[in-house]
Amino acid sequence: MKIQALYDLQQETNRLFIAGSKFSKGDPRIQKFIPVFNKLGEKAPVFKKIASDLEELLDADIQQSAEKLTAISTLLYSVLYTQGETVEADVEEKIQQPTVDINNVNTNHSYMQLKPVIEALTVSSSGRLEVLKDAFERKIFEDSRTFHYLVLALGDKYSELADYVEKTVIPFIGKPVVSFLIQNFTFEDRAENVRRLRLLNKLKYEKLQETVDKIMSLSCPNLQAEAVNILSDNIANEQLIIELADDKNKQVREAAYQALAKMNTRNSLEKLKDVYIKNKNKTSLPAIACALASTRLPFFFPEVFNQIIRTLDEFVSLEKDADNKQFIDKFNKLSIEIGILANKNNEQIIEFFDKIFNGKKFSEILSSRKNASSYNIDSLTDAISASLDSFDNEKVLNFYTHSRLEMPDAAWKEVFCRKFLHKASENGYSKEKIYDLFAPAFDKKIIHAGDLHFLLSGNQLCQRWIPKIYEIFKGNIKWDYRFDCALEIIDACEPDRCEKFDELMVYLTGKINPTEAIVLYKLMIKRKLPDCFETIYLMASKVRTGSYYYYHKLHESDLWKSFPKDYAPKFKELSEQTNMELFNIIVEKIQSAE
Amino acid sequence: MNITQKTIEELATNAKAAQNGRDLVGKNKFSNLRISADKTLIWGECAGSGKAPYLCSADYVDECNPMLRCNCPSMQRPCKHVLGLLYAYEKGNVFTTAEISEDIISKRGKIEQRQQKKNQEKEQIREKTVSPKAVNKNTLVKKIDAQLSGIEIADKIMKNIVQQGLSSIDAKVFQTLREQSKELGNYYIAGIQNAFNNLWLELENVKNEEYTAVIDQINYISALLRKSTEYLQKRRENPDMPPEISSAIEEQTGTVWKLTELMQLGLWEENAEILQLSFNCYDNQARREYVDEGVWLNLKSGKIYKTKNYRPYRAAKYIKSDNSEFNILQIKELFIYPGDINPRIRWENGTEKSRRPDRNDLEKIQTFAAENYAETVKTVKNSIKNPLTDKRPVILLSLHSSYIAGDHSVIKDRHGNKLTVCDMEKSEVSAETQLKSILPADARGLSLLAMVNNDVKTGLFSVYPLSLITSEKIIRLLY
Repeated sequence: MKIQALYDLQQETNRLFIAGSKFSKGDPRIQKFIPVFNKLGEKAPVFKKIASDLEELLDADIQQSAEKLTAISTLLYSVLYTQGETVEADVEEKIQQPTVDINNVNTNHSYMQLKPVIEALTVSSSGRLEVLKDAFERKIFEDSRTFHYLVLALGDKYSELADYVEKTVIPFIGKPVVSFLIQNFTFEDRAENVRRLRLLNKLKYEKLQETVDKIMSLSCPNLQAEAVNILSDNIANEQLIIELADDKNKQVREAAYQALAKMNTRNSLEKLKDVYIKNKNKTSLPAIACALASTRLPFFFPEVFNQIIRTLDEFVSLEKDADNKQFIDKFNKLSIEIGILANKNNEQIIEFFDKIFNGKKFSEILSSRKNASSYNIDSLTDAISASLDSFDNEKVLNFYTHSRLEMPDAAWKEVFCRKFLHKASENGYSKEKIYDLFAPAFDKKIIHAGDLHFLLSGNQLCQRWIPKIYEIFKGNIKWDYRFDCALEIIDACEPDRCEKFDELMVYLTGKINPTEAIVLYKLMIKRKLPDCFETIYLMASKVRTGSYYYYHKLHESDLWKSFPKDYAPKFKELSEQTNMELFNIIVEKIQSAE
Repeated sequence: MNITQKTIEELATNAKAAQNGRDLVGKNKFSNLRISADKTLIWGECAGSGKAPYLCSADYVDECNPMLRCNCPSMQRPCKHVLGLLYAYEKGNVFTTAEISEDIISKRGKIEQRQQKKNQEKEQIREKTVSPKAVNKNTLVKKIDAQLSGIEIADKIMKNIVQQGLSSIDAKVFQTLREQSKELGNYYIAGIQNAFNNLWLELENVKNEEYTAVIDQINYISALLRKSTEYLQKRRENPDMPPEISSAIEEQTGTVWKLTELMQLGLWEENAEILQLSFNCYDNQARREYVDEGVWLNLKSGKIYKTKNYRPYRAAKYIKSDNSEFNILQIKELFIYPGDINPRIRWENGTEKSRRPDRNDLEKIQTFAAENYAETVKTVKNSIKNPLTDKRPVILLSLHSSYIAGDHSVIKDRHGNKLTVCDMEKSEVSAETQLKSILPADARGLSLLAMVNNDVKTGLFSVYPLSLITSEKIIRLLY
């Protein structure tokens, strides 16, 4: 039984330790314990000893007080150490229910194996994701002791790490983690809990419905959005989700749109169609469009499609002098709604795009606005591309062939021109046909040498391109990768001995920044240009730090290995003169060549 | 050559070194990998930052004591290059057979010579245990005098603190006290100095005027000063008296035991079999070092021991850390330090053999588990009431059943005695939560290795779970 007087005396001696034993003489709060301990001393002599020590403390002068106080305290703590109760009083008792079968517990990994992994899951430092990936390969997550930490890592600030744990590690472990996911699940509206909920669904937690019901009764939109997604797996929840599409909370509402599309039933799509057509809230349009885009719309396609046509008509009917805001709003709305046409594969859509591509009005209105930012254009072209991707190649090629992609007033079509080029290549168009189709676009600078370069690998580059490519080196040159591609195209198409190309290369040595000339150097060596090594050495000697990209490429390049060994001392000298590490690396590369 | 991920990690100084070695294999840094015809030696080249690659080798001519070599300048041994070489072998990289170089052959010869010399020294130690070297009384008395002078200074510091009160210790006083306690290092009383360092740490950790831990430490120091004074005075009067081995007073004062001394005092066991039941590594800020602590069971006596590997902060990178050990170690000479419930043990590295524990071993462990908690609690309380003993001994308990009381699990023995299972510190992931998730209500056939925590503030005598032992396996809740 707990002797309360001991704990009370402990408080008082502690007080004296804090205040100082110099205040102990005649302390009345200590005084009152003497009769108590004398009384207790009748049963056990140790209490009598405490009482007499207390008396001595009260009588002690300042010099002796410290010794007396520590003597009492030591004795008191010794007695207290014999006193502890082994169970707490007045607490609720419950049955112990393990959440993991003891037979499935694995703790076979050592401290050295576990410690770095647990640190990576709990402490912020660099390279944590790599440690986890390595641990995953070594199957360290089979050890049950990692489970709890993995669940904690779902709330890690570094979202890539949390994603990896959620999408790769925990699904690999499976069911045994479920109990840890439920433990301390607080129904707080945090990303960590959303991840837990998603995993509980993935791992088929038996009581998930109860959890979801509770979430839906609370005000936690992030969790509710995930719960709506879970509910949509069951057709019985159709009506509930239809109702949630009108929820006050935006996140819940938008999750419901996605869920309606996922259910893909007549009723769910009818609701989604209604929400779209009657939508007054502009901020929800992207979510509605995204949901509509994810379904093939087996029902209500005509209604949805007509609405998109109306939006296009509204846009093209804009007055030329309509104010800018009105223009941007209508254009954005159109871009978003065109996104709905993804995954539909309906002939009417091709006709609709034809109207956009070949309709003079649409191009006119776009080109009349210089301020239609590239971002807005990109959203439109992305939406059209996503929709076209759902059609078979023949239809798409047919569509592109009849579209006036090379119209000079339609710069927004450049991206489609490149897509067309790739589609044509994929479908085995002959090199001549490719040239005939795309040469006009090349002339108008809608596509460039960089876009043509990939044709080399499939031998789809017609010789007729070469004169056009030589042309681009005329006039002022601001070097970029397109010129590198052009050189490689000429190299691939011209014979081994080609005076014109050799002349071009010599001409370029005086034109290009030596840091950017890696491709030129390689081709000079490959084509054995006279004095190529000396020319390159002289160019390289002018290298000073340039853009990181080119400088790094110069470091990495293996072209130095083909240099004669007698250039090593020359570069060494350059290194000493300029103190640049680059030249040391070049020396090493020249020397390491076999 | 038994080269597995586990054996490589055991050889590595720390987990980071092992990881770095593994990374080198991942980056394909090794070339010219070779193996001797008798498969006792592997070697190869590892590309480093310099022009020439590092040459590393692993010699397994003595399987228990592999010799790892590398010509890199790293202070850390074994370095990441040679660990990488082992990983390359473990991973199945191709090693072509080649002749062992003259250099390695001569090194092997030297090792053999060293081993012979070591064996001779051991024999000499054995002889010394039979006829111990006479103690130089004058030197001993001089040392004791110095120790007593140091203790006198320590006593003054302590009395001053108690007299003036803990609340009077502001930053300036605290700094002065720290400086004064540094002086104690000159008097062969490192143990007492560490006790003061612990006191300063406890003072720094005080929150909300909660001084119980500080006062507990003051009690410890006061008792230590009193007991060590009495003990040293006795030894001064009678220098022929052997050192006390029934308690840890020598070590608590500052003695660092040598294995020869332990042997001379008879504190060793021949052909012992021990099994590690739990392992942990903690940061001892007072001593400014990491401590790798293993809890071991003597399979003959059922006694629970501890191993402690101290790694000072400043050299932690270069000192090999201990690791979890899952096999039973068969040790020729097991040295046991003076102590109370869980004495510290040591053995010479490389002298042990190991075997996997089988069902019989696990059943044997169960037989050592305490079946009557009331008796165990009484024994523990009797021990910890001594201010100088370890307040948190480790015990092995046989379980009968369990239930939840409040926030904690409670375990029951077959007589109905109960014990609360509780973490030392509150944390989200802990041994207690791990145990709760696996412990069944009917716990018959299970044993729990646990650390006692008698909290004098709350009055709760609880146990902190370390490992759960079933008839099939040892479930480690820590490492």
